[in-house]
Formats: sequence, C-alpha cells, structure tokens
Amino acid sequence: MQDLGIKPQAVSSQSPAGKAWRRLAHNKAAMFSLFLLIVIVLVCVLLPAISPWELDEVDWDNIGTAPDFKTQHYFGTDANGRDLFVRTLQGGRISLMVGLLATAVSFIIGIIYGAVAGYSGGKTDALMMRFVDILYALPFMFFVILLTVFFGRSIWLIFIAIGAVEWLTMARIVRGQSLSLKQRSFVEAARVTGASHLSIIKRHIIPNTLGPVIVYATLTVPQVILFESFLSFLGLGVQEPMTSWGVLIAEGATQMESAPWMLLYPATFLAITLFCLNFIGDGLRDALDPKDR
Amino acid sequence: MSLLSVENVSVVFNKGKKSQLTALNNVSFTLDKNEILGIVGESGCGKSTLARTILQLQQATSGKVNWKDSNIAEKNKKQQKELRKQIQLVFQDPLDALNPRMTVAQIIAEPLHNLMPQLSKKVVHEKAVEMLLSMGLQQEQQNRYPHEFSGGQCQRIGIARAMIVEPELLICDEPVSALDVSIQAQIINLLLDLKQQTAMSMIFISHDLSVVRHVCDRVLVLYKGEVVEVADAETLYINPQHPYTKKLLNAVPLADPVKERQRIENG
Amino acid sequence: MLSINNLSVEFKVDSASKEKSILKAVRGVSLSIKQGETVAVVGESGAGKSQLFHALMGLLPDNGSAHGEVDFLGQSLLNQPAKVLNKIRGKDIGMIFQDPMTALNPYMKIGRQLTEVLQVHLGTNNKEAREAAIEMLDSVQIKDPADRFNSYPHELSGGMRQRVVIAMALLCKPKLIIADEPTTALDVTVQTGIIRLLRQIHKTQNTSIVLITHDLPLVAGLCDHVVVMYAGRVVETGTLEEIFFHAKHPYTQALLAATPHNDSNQQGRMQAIPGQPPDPMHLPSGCAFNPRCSFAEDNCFKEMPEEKTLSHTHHVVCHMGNHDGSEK
Repeated sequence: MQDLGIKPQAVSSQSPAGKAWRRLAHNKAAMFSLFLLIVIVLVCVLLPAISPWELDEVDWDNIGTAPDFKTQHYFGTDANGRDLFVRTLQGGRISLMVGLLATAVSFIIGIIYGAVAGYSGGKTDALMMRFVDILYALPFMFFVILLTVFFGRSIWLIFIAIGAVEWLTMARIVRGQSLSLKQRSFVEAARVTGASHLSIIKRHIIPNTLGPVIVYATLTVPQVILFESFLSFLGLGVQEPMTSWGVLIAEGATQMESAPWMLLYPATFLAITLFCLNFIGDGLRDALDPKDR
Repeated sequence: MSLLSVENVSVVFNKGKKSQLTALNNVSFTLDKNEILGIVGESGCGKSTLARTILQLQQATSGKVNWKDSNIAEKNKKQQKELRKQIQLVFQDPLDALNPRMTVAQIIAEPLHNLMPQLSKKVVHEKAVEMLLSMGLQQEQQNRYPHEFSGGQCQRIGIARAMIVEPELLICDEPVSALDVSIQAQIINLLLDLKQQTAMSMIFISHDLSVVRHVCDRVLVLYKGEVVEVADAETLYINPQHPYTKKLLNAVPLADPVKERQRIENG
Repeated sequence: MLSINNLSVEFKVDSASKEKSILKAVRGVSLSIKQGETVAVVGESGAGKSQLFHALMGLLPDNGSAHGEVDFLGQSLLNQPAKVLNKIRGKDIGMIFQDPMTALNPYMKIGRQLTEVLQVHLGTNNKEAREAAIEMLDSVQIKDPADRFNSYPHELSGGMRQRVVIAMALLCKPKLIIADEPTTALDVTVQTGIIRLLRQIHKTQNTSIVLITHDLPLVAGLCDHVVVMYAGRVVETGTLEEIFFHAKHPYTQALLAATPHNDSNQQGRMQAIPGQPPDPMHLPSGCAFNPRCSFAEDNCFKEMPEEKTLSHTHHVVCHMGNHDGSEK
C-alpha cells in the first residue's frame, strides 16, 4: 500500500473531552472553584460526624447562643437551641442534592426531548416545541403552591417542581443543536450505513450536543439551589426537622440583628457554592468553545 | 442486465405554496458491472440530488430506480437494509463526514454494527482494524479522533467505512474536491485500486473535468437537472456534441501554459 | 514596489504540553514584486501562502505575530498601527478573498458598499461616488450596472459577487491587487471569466497582481512569474516557462505531475506524491520536503538547503540545485 510518509506523533490520543479538560485545567479560577466545591461537598457529607449534636437535638442550656468551642456548638445555636454547625452542613446536603439531582433529572429529560424534536423536524418538532412553549407560559409559582396544598411540604415536591421547569430550557437548547447537527455529513453517513433513527439520535446527535448542555447544566445548578432556597424561604420547601440553606437563611434573617451567626454561616456557604459553580460553568464554556487553529 | 438503471427520474421540491424547484428532470441512464461512470456538472445541476435519490435518502417524485432489475422504492425494510450493504457513499467533506466524538475504529465499524449485528464484537473490531490498515493507516491510529487526521487521511477513513460492507456500487460525491492536489492523486489511485481489487462499479461525481477524465469509463453531463450528454470518456472529451458540454470543456484550464494563456486572451 | 525580506509568521496555539506552542506558518520568506508584474504564489495547505499576505496586510488574528521587513513603495508595512495600514489597505493595495459571500456585507446594498470605499479613502461626495461605482460595475462586466447598484449580495450569483468584490478592490486604482484563491468557490465556467477580467485589468492599468492559489493550470492564464511555497518557505521561483517546463525542485516537479490535466492519454493511475503536507508543529529536520522526496539524500535530512540561482529570474532552494527530474 502507498507509503504515507511521516509517522504519527507518539502523543496520547486527544479526544474532544480530553482536550477540553486540559483547557479547563489551565483556568485557575475554575480549578480552584472545583477544588473548593469538592471540599464543601465533603465537609457537608463527612463533618457532621465530628459533632456530638444531632440535627434536631435541643440543647436546653444553650438557646440562641453564639459560636462557642467549649459547648461544641461551632456555629452557635438557633432560636430553638439546635446546633447550627450540624444543621448548616446537613442543610447543605439537602441543598446540594436538590441542586445536582434536580438538574440531572431535567438534564436527561430535556436532552432526550430536545434531540427527538430537533431530529424529527417538521410537524413533530413543531408540536413538541409548542408544548414546551405552553409550559413556559404557565405561572410556575402558582403550580408549586397548588401542589404544596395537595401534597404537603416535601423534599420530593421540590424535586418535581424544579425538574419540571428546568427541562424546558434544556430541551430548547438541545433542539436547536439537533437541528443543525442533522445537516452534517456524518449524520447522513450514518443513515447510508444503515443506522436506525434511534441509533442516530443516541450515537450521533446527543453526544455532539453535550458541549453547550454541560455548560448550561453547571450554570443551572446554582439557579436551582437558589430557587429551592427561595421556596424554602417562602415556607414551601423542606419539612421540619430536615433543613436546607434556604430554610436556615429564612430563620436567620429574622434574628439578624441579635444573632447574626444564624444568618452568616448558611449564607456564606450558599454564596461560596454559587460562586464556585458559576466559575466552573464559565470555565467549561471557554474550554468547550475553543478557537480552532 | 445492467446493475443500476435510472429511468425517467424527476425530483421536485416544494418550496412553499406556489414555488417549486425541479432538481432533476427526467433523468435516465444505466450502469453496468465493473464500470466507472462520471457525473459532471456545475453547482445546482442536481448531481448530489441524483446520488441521494439512488441511495434512497431522497424520494423521487416520479420515475424509478432499478437495482439489479428490481425497483428500489418497492423494497421492504429488510431488503432495504440489504441494499445498504450493496450501495455505499463517499462524501465531499472528509472531516465533516466523521462523527467528531467517535474514534476512527468505531467509525469504521459502525456499518457492521448496523447491518451485520450477528457478528461478535471481537470480529467487528478485527475487521475494522484490518480495513484501517488496508487504507494505508496505522494500527496505533485506531483510537484517535477525526480532528487528529489530515484531510486525505479522513477521506481514507470515510472510504474504509464505506468499503467495510463490500459494496457492489460505490458512489463518490466530489471525493477529492476538498483535498490538496498532491493528496487528490493519492485518493484517486486508492479508489482505482479498490475498484480493480473488488470489481465493483463506481459513480464518480465531480465538477472537475480533468479528474473525471482520469478516472471514468463513461461520462454523463448534467445541466440544470437534465442529462445533456452521455458518452465514453474519450469520445466526450475529444468530440463533445452538446453545446453545454463544449462550453464546459472550453472552460477547463489547459495544462500547457502557452495554450492556456492563449485561451484566456482569446476569450 | 513590494519587497518582502525574511518574513516569518508565527501563531501561539494550544498543544499537548502545558505551555502554548509556537506554530511557524511562514519561515523566512523573501520575495519582491515590481510594478506591473503578475505573480502566482502556489502551494498546498500548510504552505503559509495566505498567512504571508495576511501578515503584510495586518490581518493576522490575536495569536499571530510577524517578524521581518516588508516595504511597499518606501513605506514599511509590518506591524504598523491600524491608522497607517488603513490608508494603504483598500487604496493602494486591494484584496480579493476566496469566498465572495463573506467578503460582502449581506445587509448592505452593493452600491453602498462600493461608494463607502470611495468616501472613506478618497473623500468623494455622494453623487460622484455613485457614478464612479456604476462605471466600475460596468467595467467588471456586470450587466445593468445602474440596476445592480441597488441589489443585495444574496441576489447575485457567485460569479457576479466576486466581480463586485473585484470592483471594490479596484475603485481606488490600487497599485497592487492580492487575490487569495479568488476562483476556488466558483464554477469552472465562471472561473475563466474572472481570470480574464483580472488579466484585462493588468493590461489596461498596469496593476501588479498577486494570485494565491493551489491550482497550477489556472496560473498560466494570468501570471508571468511563479513562486512555489512548501511548509512556510519558498522552494522555487521563476518565470511561467521556467516553472512549467524547467522546474528544478522535486516538489514543483511532483506537483506538476500530480495535477490532472485536460489532455489526451489521461486514463488510469495518477502520479501521486506519497505522504502528506507536513504538520507545521512538527516539521522534519533539514528540508521540509524530505519525507516525500524521491530524490532525498543524506544531506537533505540534516541541513536546510540554500537558495541557488539558476538564472536571474529562476531560483531554487534545494540541495540538488540542478535537478532535471529524471529518476535516479
């Protein structure tokens, strides 16, 4: 066979993901944020174990007291005498879980819906996207309140409520990507080599939409956490004794002047987490959108 | 019996309520076994639409396409899958024809996944690597991604993907137009070698008349969706009949610089 | 008129290693163009021919940098501030790019795009600019120029758009036109017309023309001199005849042999050049063509060849200065 001349360089394979990761690694703000986020997650998951106090245990001797190492109330106590260190971290677990899981669920629904709509095109696409438009137009808070009235406050309600809203934008983004991917030669090649429509969506369309989708997802997570905080602030979120940062902030806000630590700790955690997620999202967007040679 | 017979095929696109675009108008031709047919024409002549109609990616508005004497439009799903093993396509843009998120081995193996699912993973992988090597690429490159290859190499990968199912007809849609001159010659030689080894037929679509002259046995000229002339390659080039063919041939730059200078100045 | 001395163009790019790598697109090119000359700069992808001229026109992207000297009618061009370049670009040097659709603003009527050039560079008033524009449209052989004046780019065919772009380049009567692959995106029947137009412009106005292309046969219709580039360097220069009939560099010879012609006896295998154009990030040591050269000797892998003068117009950069192309 013909000589192809120069031997390929012995470099490790550069998948698009690999290249993007390397670019991200050069972004100091994003890397630091990622590190910090991992620290926060680990802290929320592991650290409550070092405290002798439980989530809903009332310390009658220390109601509404400031942080004090001697009493082992590292973040102080709330108006009911419950330890804030444990509550803040446990609340973090809830907030993060809601943030990540609700986003993941809406992610999955949105991608599949959007990919199918965009790829199908024509009437199917029009119908599917009009449905999305209608859902967009509905007053969301109204629904959440309605659901709360029927089913009571519950963490699952939050999941469903948030997931139900976030998938819409994801679907739109993926549908737009899908429409343009449909025109690429490799999709045509897949058809010519016998791929079914399902196979094309699975192997060719969806993997190639992941760039913008991942970026959008990381920027959605802070929105979701904030939204959950908002719902909790309004009293529509998690049930006692479970707590979340939003609930803690709501309670802390009422005691702001006399017991600032009650607001300070959960608010700081929330703020740092949101910052981190935003920086990571920005970094991902830059990493996944390179200027080609 | 000709291998492929296109009979009075027309393709009309509806562009809204009142306007229509006739991409192909009453096109007819045949293709025999072991023959290379060139289809030439300028932009908008319908050559790509014709390729897609033969491949069933586009429905003909009227007329029929016969493969081995049976109408391809009247085939059931199973038969259509069989057909995909027999007629394959090589694309114009070598890089765009490859999924950027799949490795080269996966890309070449995909037709086997789709059309011969009974084969084991191991066998499929072996065949893919074998095909990669026979296209002049190297074993170590099987897990690389398309953007790591040059245009010529991407086209080899595309050809490998098309050839892995051992088609009887290979349709090449401007396969070398996007490549450098020195690479064009490599790819053309590769296609000619493949044709010789497998005795397959080829349809070679191009706007570059000089390239077509090298490669094709017969040439068909398309103009605005209609067949304007069909002839043996040499006959067409030496003694074109239709005025459009003549115009087309006169427009091709000549190799001899002195003659080419004269051609330009005497326009 | 235009003299380029040891021009190098580099780009900072992402690479596998931690730091950004330097991609050398052009490595020490020197050439000169006299008034009234027509020069073809020929090469394949990676040759650096486009980057060379982008550099001297100040059109490099942010990650590109140029070194060397470029002198245009006594004015240094390289790395000048935009103010200085803007007086020359579009006025004394006209550029024609490959894709006419992207060279024209799709939201502006072509007439306005033409008059804008005159107003900016020559300060012409509206009425005179309009007349001059219509006259120019006529001279590039666009029918009904007064009507076409009010058309949008998408209403014109590819060939006509390219003529409009040429008209724009000609408006200020430039001394030099740089045409970067002006016919690649066009049909073959249209290509001939564009080349004829350029030839005519050259003859009537003694404008120098640089034609950047990878298509050798096209060169003969327009250009008297040819510069062949490979991997960022000039490998051979000469007159049209010298290059086409007496090429001395193995790459030039191979390129001529690999080009499909519209001549008789053209059936069957073509003369390919093995291998592929080199990766600019990993150039071979010595002469960049050595992996693909059928005549490479030991020296070719070690040292970069020097330029050898074969005649006052014919120069070749090869260790075997006087190679006639016959097999060893």
